[in-house]
Amino acid sequence: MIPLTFFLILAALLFGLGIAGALLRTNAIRMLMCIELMLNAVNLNLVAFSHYITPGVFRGQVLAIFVMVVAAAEAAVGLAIILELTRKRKVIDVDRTTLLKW
Amino acid sequence: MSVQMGFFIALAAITLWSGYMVVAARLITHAAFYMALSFVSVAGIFILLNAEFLAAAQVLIYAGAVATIIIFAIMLSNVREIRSDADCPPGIIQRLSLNLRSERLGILPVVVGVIFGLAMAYVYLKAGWTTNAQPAFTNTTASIGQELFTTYAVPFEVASLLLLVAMVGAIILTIKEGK
Amino acid sequence: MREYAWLIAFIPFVSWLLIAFFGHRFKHGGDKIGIVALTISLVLATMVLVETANVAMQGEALGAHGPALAAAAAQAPEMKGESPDIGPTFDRSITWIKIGSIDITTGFQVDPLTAVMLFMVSLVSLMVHVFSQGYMHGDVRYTRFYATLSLFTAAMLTLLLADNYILFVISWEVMGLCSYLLIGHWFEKPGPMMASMKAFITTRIGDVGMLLGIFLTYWATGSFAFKDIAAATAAGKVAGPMLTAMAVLIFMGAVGKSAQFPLHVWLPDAMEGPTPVSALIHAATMVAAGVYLVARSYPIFHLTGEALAVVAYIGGFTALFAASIATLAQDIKKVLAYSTISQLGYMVMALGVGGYTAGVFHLLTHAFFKSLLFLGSGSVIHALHTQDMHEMGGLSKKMKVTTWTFIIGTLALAGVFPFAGFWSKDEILLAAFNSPFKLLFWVGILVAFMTAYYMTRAVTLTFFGKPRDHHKFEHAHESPSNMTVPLIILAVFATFSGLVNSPLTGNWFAKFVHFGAEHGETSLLVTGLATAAALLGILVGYAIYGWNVIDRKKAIRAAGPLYTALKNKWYIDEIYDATVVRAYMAFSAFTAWFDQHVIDLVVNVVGWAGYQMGLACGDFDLEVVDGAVNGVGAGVMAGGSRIRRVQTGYLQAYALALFGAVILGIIVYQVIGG
Repeated sequence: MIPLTFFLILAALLFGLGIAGALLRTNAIRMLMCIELMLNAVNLNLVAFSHYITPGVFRGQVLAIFVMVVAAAEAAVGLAIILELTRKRKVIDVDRTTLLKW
Repeated sequence: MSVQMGFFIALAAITLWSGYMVVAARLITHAAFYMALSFVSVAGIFILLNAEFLAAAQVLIYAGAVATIIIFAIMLSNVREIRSDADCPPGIIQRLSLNLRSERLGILPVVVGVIFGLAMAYVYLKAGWTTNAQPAFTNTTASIGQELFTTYAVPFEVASLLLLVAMVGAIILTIKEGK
Repeated sequence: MREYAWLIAFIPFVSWLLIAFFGHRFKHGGDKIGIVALTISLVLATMVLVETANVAMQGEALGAHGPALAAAAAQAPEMKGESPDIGPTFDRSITWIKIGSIDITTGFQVDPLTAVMLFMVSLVSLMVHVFSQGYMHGDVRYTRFYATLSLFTAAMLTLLLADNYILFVISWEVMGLCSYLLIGHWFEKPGPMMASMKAFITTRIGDVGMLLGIFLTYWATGSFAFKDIAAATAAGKVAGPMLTAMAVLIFMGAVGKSAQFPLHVWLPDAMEGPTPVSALIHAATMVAAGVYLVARSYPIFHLTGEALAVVAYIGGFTALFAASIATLAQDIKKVLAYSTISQLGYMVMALGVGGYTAGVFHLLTHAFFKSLLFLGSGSVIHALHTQDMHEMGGLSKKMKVTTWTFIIGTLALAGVFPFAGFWSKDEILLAAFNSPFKLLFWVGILVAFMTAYYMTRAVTLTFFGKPRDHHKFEHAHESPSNMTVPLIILAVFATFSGLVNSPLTGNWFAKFVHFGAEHGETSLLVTGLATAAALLGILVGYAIYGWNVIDRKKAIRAAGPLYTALKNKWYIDEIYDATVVRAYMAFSAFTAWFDQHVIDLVVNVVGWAGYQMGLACGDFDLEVVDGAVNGVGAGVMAGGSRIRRVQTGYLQAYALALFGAVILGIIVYQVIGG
């Protein structure tokens, strides 16, 4: 039997990787990938809790499904934004699109 | 060490390694494939957690759909920079040092990521979890379906609406203007 | 069917919206929409009338609406507590406004009075709609004309259906607005423009009184609904001077709208509007709304003798007064306008002397023959392009249909057997004869004579004799069929509508529309006198204008000052000008002087003081307040120039801060939460 903590620590480390990647890489698409990693870590947590804390009840898994839905939607819209950005400004590097400064 | 534990360690190692390669791969296309690998190994972990439906969904949605559209996006965008390896010089040491440092933020991102991971690990270890015994056998997929269409019917519909909106939004955003 | 009665008013309303917004896209500017809508309304109104009549007659057969009501009706006027029976009433209402304990309901009701009026209004309105196709052909604002006509009809029908004073007043005011718009239809000319304003302002004077009366009624009875008010007055909750004040104030509205004596001046001027409008609004329907108001408020009026006396005398005086002016008017429409005022006075007088059925009956028949006469005059004006009767003559050779229908209208108005006016006028005279107001009976006979005289004069001058203006006569021609057909239909009604209240039909109308149990013995004396007066009037009129037996110049010289006074409409406009308008101007001049010398002085002093204080404050401001403000500003600037470095615009910097804060949160939680 694998302890719950193992799964949680795995999720925490995966999330940490995601954070580091999202902050390090300036390529917008790679940032998006890192965000997907973080969402995966969250799903891992949810499923683990569902399995260990409330066995036989599937709320955690249902919530994980909703997270997937949101992730899919986010990927679609995020990529659309990135494509539009590259088309308009010929730039994929988020450091060179400092529009938020205004 | 049980067989399960062996599988877990192997899958966890693959997950973390491929996760690292998402961040560190020289080419973004490689990063995308590593991401897909990481998704698949997380799906394996889901199976260890008796969540076979979710594992299937994970493979379909993440490895199938999300990874595919990201790869498509990379292929379809014609900005040279998107596939460049300008920020990844050759040489393992240089690469590693580059992977640990951001041009603008220095070492801070890595520090934040590591501290976050360690802090959460600490929190999890310290918390005393009261786990419950597993029921003998449950048909997970059927139960999830039951929950989704009864208790969570409204969120389910809202989620479908969200997907529709995202779809329309994505199309609108990428429509070429004029002509 | 009665539960759908609101559709009768709603359909013209929809047609107004359609014409107003989309009319210009249709061929013929949307006039067909209005005609179709009115046709539907007329069919519905007929069905409502038939059903109401059936219900009423069944009740009659049972002995006046069931045994209980029959007992009440037998002793009605004396017994307190039960409002006199007005026939079967169908009422639907909903809560409209709820403020605390005040609960205002609105809805519609269909009783015999409403049913007959609905039929009359939708019929006349339909005829006018059809007639206008010819008369207004090629007008610059054709679509607007039809839209306003539809709105007016909708408002008038709503007014009839209303079961409370609020809805009543709303539609009353909408009608006033439509009247204003339609009188001023040709607003490029100064005449219609001034006339529309005069009509609006004059009726408004009456409306103020009416509103006060309605508020007083609400204050006294606690309701705006007709049936509650009727119940309250019948139960004796309100009595004495209060009741009289309510009645007289409400009557002021009728004086304005129905052009009764002091406020009649707007109606002749309203003839500046298009003739079909005069026929619909200023003869048949809107001006009748005042009479309808009194009839509707009869539960208040019939309990107060003082108010009834006021109503009766004002009505009688107006009838005589206006008829006397009509005898010398030159403009064919002015003749009809003064005749309308006179006949409205007749109706008001009938209500005042207690002849509820008589007044309403005359309202109904008058609507038919007066709209016929107006449309007939419209046909003449359309052919000749003049309104002056001295430029007409001999038209009977050229305009057969118009002539004959006009003559039928004249006979009906004059009260010749068996035309409609005979029966209704007879009823009124009978009511006056049986009432304490004997004087008014003789006034009525005199008016009947004058009416017959001036109408004969108008017919003779217009249609018979030799053409006086040959150039215009040459171009005259009979109007197109869409103008003559309405004339014929209305002529049929002018001829036969009186029969509904004749011995032939067993006084059906009196059994249908009544207020309490009315009784009236037919008096041969009254009938004989009235017919004699009418025939004498026709004879005298034809003697002067047809056979030229009497030399008009000599007659004028003999009449002397009376002629001048009549020619100048008893100088009423001049008197108003000299008194009301002058007084108003003088008052205005005084207020202007007061304004300049007293108020301005005060204002200037205040202003000067303010200025001085402002100067003092300004110094304080500059040195103390501004100092503080500038100090704060400088501090913020200095701080901002440092803090703004954080705002780099780099996405990842923000994300870093975010996750840093999360970590900080975790640490804090671990330290504090243990």
